Amino acid sequence: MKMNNSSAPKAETTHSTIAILQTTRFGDLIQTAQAISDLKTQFPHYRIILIARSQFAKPLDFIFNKLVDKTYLLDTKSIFQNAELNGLSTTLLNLEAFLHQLKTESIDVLVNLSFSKSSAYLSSLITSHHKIGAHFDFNNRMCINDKWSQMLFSTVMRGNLNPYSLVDLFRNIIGIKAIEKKEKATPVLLANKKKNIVIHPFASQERKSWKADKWVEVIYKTLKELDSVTISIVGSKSEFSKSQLILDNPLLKNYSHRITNLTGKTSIEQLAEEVKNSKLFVGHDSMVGHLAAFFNTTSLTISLGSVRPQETTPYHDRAYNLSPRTKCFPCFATDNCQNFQCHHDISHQAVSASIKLLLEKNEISSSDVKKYISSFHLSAVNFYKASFSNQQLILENLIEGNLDTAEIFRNFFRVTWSFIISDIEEAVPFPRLSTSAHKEMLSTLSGLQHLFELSDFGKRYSRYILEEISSATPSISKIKDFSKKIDEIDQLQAMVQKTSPYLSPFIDYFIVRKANLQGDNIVKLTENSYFAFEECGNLSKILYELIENSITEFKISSPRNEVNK
Amino acid sequence: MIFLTDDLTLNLSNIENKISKNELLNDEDLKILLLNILQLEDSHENE
Repeated sequence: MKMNNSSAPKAETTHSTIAILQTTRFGDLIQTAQAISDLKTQFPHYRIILIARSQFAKPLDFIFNKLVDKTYLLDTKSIFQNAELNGLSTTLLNLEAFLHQLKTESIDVLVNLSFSKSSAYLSSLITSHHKIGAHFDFNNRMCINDKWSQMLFSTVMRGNLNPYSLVDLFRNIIGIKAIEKKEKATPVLLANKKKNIVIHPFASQERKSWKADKWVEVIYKTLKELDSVTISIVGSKSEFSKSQLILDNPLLKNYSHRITNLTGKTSIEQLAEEVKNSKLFVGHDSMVGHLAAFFNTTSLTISLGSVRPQETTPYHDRAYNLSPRTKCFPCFATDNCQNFQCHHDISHQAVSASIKLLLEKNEISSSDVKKYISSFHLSAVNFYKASFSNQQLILENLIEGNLDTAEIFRNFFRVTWSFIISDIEEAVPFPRLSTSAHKEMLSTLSGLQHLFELSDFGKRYSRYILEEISSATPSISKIKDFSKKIDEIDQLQAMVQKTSPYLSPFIDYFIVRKANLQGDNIVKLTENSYFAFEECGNLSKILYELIENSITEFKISSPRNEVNK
Repeated sequence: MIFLTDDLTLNLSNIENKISKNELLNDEDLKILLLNILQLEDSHENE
């Protein structure tokens, strides 16, 4: 990370301070902790401070006290205390007191990793030499100046085409280079764990978790087939009644002595200890999975509803993920859904069989899936295993066959973003294309051609503006006309997005990129507009080449009649 | 926990006015905008 423009090695001799701002919930905070852990390893001489919401960061102090030099807790309860009686002035004083504490730190870089309006306003009020991530300016305009934050803002939770884990995006935003992962769960470490499975059968939304009866089946089958195994059910106080629904099921009556219900009975630190000492974690997308990753416990996550496995699968190489291939998966939290088809597409048998394999063999390979799990139970799922490539998390599908189109595009996007933004070359094998993927690729090629041509026009009109400004008698009306042309290009890019939806991540990124052009005068802004169009053209060229080569490879390896179908 | 007191409402409408007139905000305005969002987030979390 470039701390300043001076050539003196300031970072080596003084304690530069990096402040990480993360105001979101437990899961994001644990993922932030994983990124901070790498930051601390690479830059042990930096002073790292965390700014987070009190209600989420305080219970995780047992993690952060080893990672950061100081945590500043934004406690809204005390800020708003007696607000109704005392009015705005007292509340403002409370907020100022919090900001005053932060002023005592000489922050070199403030990194906002949470993309909420509140964190962006907070970022704008904290004094720092440099700011990364979202913040507001005095025109009340949200500014995101760094490319990885622009990429996160434009793609995460927008669709299913973001190829990066949130932890990797956080690492990229902070500017941590890829480093060799040292901590591996060795067989000795695994042997020390008790034969217990921690199950968290709940999630923050109904669409993200199975109903109780499916979990009853999983627990019943696991305890019936694996004699020496015990199970701990975990969750928050508010989930206690749901846990009772599972435990009161008559099917589990004979096994109740092997099940411990810890729902609502543990602190997060105690829960972490339970996860750390257990052999396996099984559950939906929640912070417990991230705790498992943090403490190197194997995890099996069942992703449903609006969960994007690529973004939130626990960040370690012993993470497994079962996701439905349901057409509407992943959906959006606001989508109306009555049937929850994705819940039906993952069978409890597939989960039970995977648990058995993980307990008996410690890991699952592609051949294990083929040999031990009935293909009937895998017909509508993707079964991923996490691993690291270039020190970034990737999900490999353990079910052999053609990749779906979104998966192919995610791989291509990963290659393209990594090269353009971080200058990292990634090697990805040519995908095996299904007929439908082949068709989608062909149609995307024409979208890319349009995008490339539009970028070229964008560059041209940006150049015209610069030439006009530098002429002896610049004409305002000419500059306005060229500027209008650039606006038209933006509208045409939006039309390409409609006809080639797989290009959405690029186009969305460019909308954010162009909205955040840097410069305090028309020359600087136009120069940066030129560079943005150039980057768009380069991204289009690389993606075009990747698709074209994949299609060529597909034609060589497939019989002619298959291709022409 | 929504405390939409009269003074907050008044301040927010002043800020909206400034924004509509393309006037620059100041630190105080940003603080009020932050407080407004924090209380909305808190009330949403408590639901």
